[in-house]
Amino acid sequence: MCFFVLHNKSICFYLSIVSGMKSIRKIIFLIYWVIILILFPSQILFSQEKDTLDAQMLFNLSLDDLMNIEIESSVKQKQSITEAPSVVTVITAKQIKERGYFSVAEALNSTAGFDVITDYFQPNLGIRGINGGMRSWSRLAKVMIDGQSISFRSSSDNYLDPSLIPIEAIEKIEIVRGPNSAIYGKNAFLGVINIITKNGSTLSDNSITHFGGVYQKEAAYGISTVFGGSQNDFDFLFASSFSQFNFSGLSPHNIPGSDIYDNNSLTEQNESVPFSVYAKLHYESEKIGEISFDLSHQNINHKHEFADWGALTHHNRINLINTFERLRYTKDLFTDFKVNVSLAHSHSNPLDNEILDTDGDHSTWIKRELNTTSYDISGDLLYLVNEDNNFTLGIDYTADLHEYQKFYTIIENNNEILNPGGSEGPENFNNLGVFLQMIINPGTFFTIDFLKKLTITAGYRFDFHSIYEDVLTYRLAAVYALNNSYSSKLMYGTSFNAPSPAQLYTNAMFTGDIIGNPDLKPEKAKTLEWALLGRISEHLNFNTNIFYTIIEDKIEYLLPFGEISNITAANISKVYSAGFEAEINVLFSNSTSYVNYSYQKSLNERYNPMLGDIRVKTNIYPQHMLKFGETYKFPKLHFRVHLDGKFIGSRKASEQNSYVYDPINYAINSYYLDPYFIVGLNIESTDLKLFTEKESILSLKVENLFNTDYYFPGFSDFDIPGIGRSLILKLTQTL
Amino acid sequence: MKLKGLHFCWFLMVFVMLWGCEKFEEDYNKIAYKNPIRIGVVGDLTSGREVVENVFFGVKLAAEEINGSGGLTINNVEREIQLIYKNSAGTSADGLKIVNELIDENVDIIIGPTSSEVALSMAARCIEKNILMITYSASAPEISTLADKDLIWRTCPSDEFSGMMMARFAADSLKKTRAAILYRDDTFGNGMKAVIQSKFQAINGEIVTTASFPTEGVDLSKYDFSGQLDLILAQEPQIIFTIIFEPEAGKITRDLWSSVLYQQYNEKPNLFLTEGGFLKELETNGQPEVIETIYGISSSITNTTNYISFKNNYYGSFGFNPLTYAEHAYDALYSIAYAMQRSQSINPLVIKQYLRLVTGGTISSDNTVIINVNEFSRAKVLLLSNIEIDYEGASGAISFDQKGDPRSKFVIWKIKDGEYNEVALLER
Repeated sequence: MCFFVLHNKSICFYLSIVSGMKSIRKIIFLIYWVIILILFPSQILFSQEKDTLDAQMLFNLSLDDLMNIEIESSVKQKQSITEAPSVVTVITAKQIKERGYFSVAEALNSTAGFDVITDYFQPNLGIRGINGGMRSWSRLAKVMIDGQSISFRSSSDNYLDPSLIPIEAIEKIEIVRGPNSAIYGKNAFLGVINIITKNGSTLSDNSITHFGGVYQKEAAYGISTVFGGSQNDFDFLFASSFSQFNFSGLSPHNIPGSDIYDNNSLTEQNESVPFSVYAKLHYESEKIGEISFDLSHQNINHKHEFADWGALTHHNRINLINTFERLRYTKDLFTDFKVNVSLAHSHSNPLDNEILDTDGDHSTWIKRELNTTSYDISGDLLYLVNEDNNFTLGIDYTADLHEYQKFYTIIENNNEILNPGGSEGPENFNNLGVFLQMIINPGTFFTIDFLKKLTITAGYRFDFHSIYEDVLTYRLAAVYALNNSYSSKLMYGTSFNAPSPAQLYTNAMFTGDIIGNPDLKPEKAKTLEWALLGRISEHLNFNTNIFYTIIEDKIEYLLPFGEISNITAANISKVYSAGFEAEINVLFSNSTSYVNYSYQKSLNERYNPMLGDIRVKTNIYPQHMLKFGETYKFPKLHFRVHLDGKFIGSRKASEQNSYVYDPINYAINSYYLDPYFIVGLNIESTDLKLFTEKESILSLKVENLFNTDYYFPGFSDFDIPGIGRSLILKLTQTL
Repeated sequence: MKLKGLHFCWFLMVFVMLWGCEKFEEDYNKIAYKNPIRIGVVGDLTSGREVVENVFFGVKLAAEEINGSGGLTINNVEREIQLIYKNSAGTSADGLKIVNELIDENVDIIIGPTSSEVALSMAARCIEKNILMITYSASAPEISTLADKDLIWRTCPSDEFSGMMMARFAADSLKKTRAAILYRDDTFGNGMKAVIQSKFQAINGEIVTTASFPTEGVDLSKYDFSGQLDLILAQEPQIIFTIIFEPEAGKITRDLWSSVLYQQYNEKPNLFLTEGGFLKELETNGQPEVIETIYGISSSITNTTNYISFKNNYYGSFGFNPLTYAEHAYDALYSIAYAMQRSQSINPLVIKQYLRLVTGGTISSDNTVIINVNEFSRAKVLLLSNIEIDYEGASGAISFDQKGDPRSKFVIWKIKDGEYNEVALLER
């Protein structure tokens, strides 16, 4: 307790230097009392055992996790991070819990090379200097649950908020930066995020979690559950999550020189009600093999006050469902072969109460119709030549049956009129992909010591698509184990991002709105990476890389010019992006820390009718990012504290806002959003028993501890404010 | 640990990558002009971005052609044209601000602005400061009658003429006797409404009602026109003269289609649009059924050799086709350049005296050589040889009159089965 008081004093001292704000002291005071409330009954509630060896070992595992944990996203087979021919970061369930993450987006935002901004509808994911721009959200990466793509297929967006998957169901998140189309095909463009779910047998405890608190100035609450278990050869898991956040009271931030919005321009009833369910049934026996059935249901149900098509209408509600069900079969054949077969069905559509509105007049509004049913069949055959060499041959077929996105204007008596614009296209998108991958250790074939430490990975993939052109992607990577502690990776790969049906064929929501461009081609990337990673000591490891990416035919939403009267997507630019990323993880005594730094310089080369061919910095993505976190455990006091911070450097405004700022020279004259530094705090009990002999976990999460003002790039005539100081109290009861 | 070599390679690669790659430097294609003649190009980007940028491209094309042909030779000094683009934002106050900015930047020749309201406010300041101004689209009749010291010109026709042509065509060719007017509540809209109303009534037509809509502080692409349209439709007009800009064109057709009154018409009333670059806007955002009922007027005569040549050059430079007014803006710069070359001066007070001469205007000589679009080199040789020229522009014969207005022709267009058709050619 004495330590804590001292520690608390030092925090107060630090905070008073940082801001001198009285409100911060109030927060510290509040946090102090919450901790006291946790600790006061500790003599009764906490088990009296000392921090056991087992508990300490579990805690210590985290550093090993970071280097030696097995991942499967890089090459579709299990490897350690040091072996994988990719730049990989893994966020484990333990880290998710300790850091108090509510969503995959929060986890990604702690990672080097990822920049997550939001419009309070969905996170928008930028990767290594590139952001997809307006209505892109996170379509630059392929997001999967246990290898199954979960994108909303009409728009190829991935939803990364709590509606994606109950966070308690996640065993780990494998985050691969760089291209991976050579194995995953389309949309594994600048990264792959593979969410690996828990099994019933590895689930430590069933649990129910409730949380409540204050987000900005409004109440937030939620409930989630995770149940699982195994019996005989069967294993099952069920998880669900429902929550409600309210982002009311936020005000759009004016573009420099503009005074459109004032203090009375506030979001109202800006509720976000994500709901997700994930379930898995698994059977495994030596004779039959592994059979797994899983399903995911995502419901994105959000008011959208910062919509680019109509801000502060107090009427926009996006309500979408996105589901998949999948059957997988895995079997070892003979001694050298392993076969995987998967069959999945997915479906997505908006629900009836979705409302789109462009203004404050609610007598007319806009309805959206779209519907996608998809069938994915895939299979791969792994041939293990020996322990170090193998070949994989895979084939997959996807049939997306689309009813294209169409907007209707609802007028008097609920009559609806189809909005003009856009064009018709084929309703069936079919893609056949074939890939071949070889992992070879040349040392097996040649008796040269140097080669024994070298692993070569080569992969080729052809995608034959019914709408856009066929695409060949490939990768070549060399991983060299310098010694037991270090490895170096040199990687080159290509990838592509397919134009989404919405980009190809949508009609306009309103006059001047985005319309489809049926002539779009896939955007393609080629990336050269060099990574160096290793463990400097028992207490410290690092993972660094430099990358150089060239994107051809980058799809961007064009501002109307020439004959174009509406915003439309076009393959207009070429992007050069280079950068450096470094992660350091430190484990010392009861402290686990991470710090990562990302630097990138990215230029967008494009034709501008006024200026000719120009090369300018890319929009939206910051040049510098520094992220850190510290988890400190107080075993005798039965709680741990996680403090994290992010410094996000200055970033160029979106092109849409730059146009408002300087309509003449917007292509070369933009304004920059200020850099910011935000700090979050999570305090969590350990070994607390409130109701039964099973553990109760009480935690307090404070976001934006210092109530820093900061802004994300917007795409209309404003930038989007970050959330203010928010507090969430969470209770998890294990069963 | 044998990491020395590795570290060396590591940092060498970073160094090579960041130092050696010129692709990581911004590049804006900044151009160095030879003895530049600075000319302001002003447009109201706020009220019609596509059309105004198109105008900018039209002027840019002219400047590139002139500079690419060796530029002007004035008093034996070779000079190139440098364009200074400005956004007048569609308001009088911004227009005035822009003029002052251009004065501060030593600009005394201006091409623009877009709207009549802004043009009138800018004109007052230009007259005061002896600045030559040629607008490409401000069509209010008042511009013709300003006490302007011959400093205010335009390459588009006055509403006095286009309004008259619209009224006559509606009455004489379409045989309409009952008309309504939907108009912008601004200088252009009110002026054009007055012209059409008086001309239509003068030929025994009846204006059954008029309705205006606000233009300031509203996003007209999302404005609800149903109130104005229902007011008009209740009077059962046969044709609605529609005095608008591009941003509201599509929305008006959609609101019209949504109207219960409109749907009750057995024979739908025609819309008759004033001049503007509406086609793509209507094609993309208009209600298809309503578009088929539209007539429009345009001073862009697109089947002339000069226009086709201009259009091809424009497409070659920018990759898309020009919209209405690009050719008027293009002609404005050529007219100025030829007047400079002829007068051997860049002084606006001198140049203005030669604008009529080089464009076949009222005081031109009979012994002139016709100069077509993109013939600056030829024209310069002729002018340096004291041979008079008559510039026939992309928009047709310019022939500035005493008021600084061009000699204009008009086409009446109609969209039939989704295709643009010119149904009549009218001459002033």
